[in-house]
Amino acid sequence: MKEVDIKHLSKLANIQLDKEEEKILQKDLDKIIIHIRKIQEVEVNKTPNTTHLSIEELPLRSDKKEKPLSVKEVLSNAQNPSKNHFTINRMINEDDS
Amino acid sequence: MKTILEYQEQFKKEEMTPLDLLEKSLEKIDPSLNAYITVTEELARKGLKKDIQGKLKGIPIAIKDNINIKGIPTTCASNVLKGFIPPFSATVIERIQRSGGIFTGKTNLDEFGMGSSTERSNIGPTKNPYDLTKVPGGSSGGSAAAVASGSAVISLGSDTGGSVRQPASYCGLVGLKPTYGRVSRYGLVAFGSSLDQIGIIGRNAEDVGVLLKVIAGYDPKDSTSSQSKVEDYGNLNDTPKNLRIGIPEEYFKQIDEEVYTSVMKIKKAIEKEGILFKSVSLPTTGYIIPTYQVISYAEASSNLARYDGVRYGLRKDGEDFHDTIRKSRNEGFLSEVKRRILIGSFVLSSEAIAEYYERADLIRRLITQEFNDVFKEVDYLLTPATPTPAFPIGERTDDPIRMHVPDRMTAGANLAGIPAVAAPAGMIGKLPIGYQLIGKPFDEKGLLSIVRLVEKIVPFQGFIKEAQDG
Repeated sequence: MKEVDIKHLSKLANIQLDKEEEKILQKDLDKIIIHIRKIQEVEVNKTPNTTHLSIEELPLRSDKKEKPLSVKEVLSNAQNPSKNHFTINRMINEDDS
Repeated sequence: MKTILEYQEQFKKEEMTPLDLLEKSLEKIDPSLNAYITVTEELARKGLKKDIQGKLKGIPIAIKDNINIKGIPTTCASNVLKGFIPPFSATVIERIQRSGGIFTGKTNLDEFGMGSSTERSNIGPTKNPYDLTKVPGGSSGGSAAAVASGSAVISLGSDTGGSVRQPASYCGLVGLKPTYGRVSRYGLVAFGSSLDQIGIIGRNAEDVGVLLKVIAGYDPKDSTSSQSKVEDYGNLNDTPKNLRIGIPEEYFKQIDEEVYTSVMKIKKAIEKEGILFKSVSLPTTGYIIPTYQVISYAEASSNLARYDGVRYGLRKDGEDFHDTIRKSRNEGFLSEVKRRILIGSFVLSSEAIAEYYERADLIRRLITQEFNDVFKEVDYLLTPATPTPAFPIGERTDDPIRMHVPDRMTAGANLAGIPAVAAPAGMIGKLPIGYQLIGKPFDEKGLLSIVRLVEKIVPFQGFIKEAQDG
């Protein structure tokens, strides 16, 4: 029996899987889900949430303007950036407008 | 085997120059180990020329390739980051540079730190310097192999579920995961943000302490960074006294008999020094792995959503914007990372969140509470660092559940945010094996003091010969 719908999950995760890999991962995911389901044995009704790990109060940093990265530095790893921008594929087709 | 302080002494007396040490270290980079993704010889030589006087002057350090050094590629062993050159350095890198430390290179890891063997890397597996057919552990396997083979005096790794301690154990080294918040995570590529902590892999407790003192301390760039006092972690001359160490029975089940014997030898040796031992119980131990999986996968799915090919990293053009993102991510990630992102998306999805993520979050609280309670009775816990010595390359790559087995010993400390250290307990055949000590928050110095004591009374005989004179 399938424990998860891999097509739905790959959509949520924004990964377009190849057919072959989808088959393999479906089996792996089913096995992992059965394994992690073990946590449902634990009685947790009286337990409070984990909201944070720190045992002390953490300070906020002072609200001062710092020197940011330059536009050139920020764009240094982007593919095909235009002058001062990242570029992506066209999102609105002419038919939509 | 010289310590960082001994090298510093030699530099002062001009018996050796930092350049000699760097040359010797670079000579020991063995391509067949595949420990390095990028060797940074030029950066190291430039660093030496600056002649910065500090606690780490001229010490060659290897850095896991998920910690940014400005101007040097960070790949996280992933195709998704191929060619990415960070425009900023991690806080730990800046602190090391200010103390005169130099970098031999960026070391191999399981992609984004997700694995226990350093096999799931886009450049292929790193090999264990003690036995080339075995894994070095992971995910900081490159950092461990670099130190064990003598190409670096010490290294940085990151530990989300045991990724510093487990490779240290497999490679006969000391591996420390500090308390959550002790070391700034700024510039460490995020995997599971509530679990990740930068850790240190070295040849002895003192070296680890010397480096910890440099990198620890408050950093306004990491909102979870602690303001608690940085101690002189490298000064371990005081012998620990009046201590009680707990032996949690659950950690001694389903482990190799030889691992049990090795850890018990360490226990007996410490006992002779007047330290008391007590059996304790941590009943939720059996739930550590699934709880860790749910939380770390959920956080990974969220953290890794940033790899969309827009601002940096691999881009595979598709029919439209969304198609481009989905194709880029498919091409960019190896299968284990995909598995974890997919499961993470599942445990956070509206139909599953209550039964998985929220429940795991509650169990995390129970696990933490158990540690807190047991630390009212004892000061430290002694456990094996791993259930077995290093396993053969290829043995577990197709089994995503079995790969998590070593995490059983280590992931509890990450869930609870407490410090833990792995150190050599001896050899099983030609492979080293480690013990682990878990401590109270911010007691890194106490942990390292006990490791130092063990080093004195049961010296580790397993160091690889060539590494000794490096």
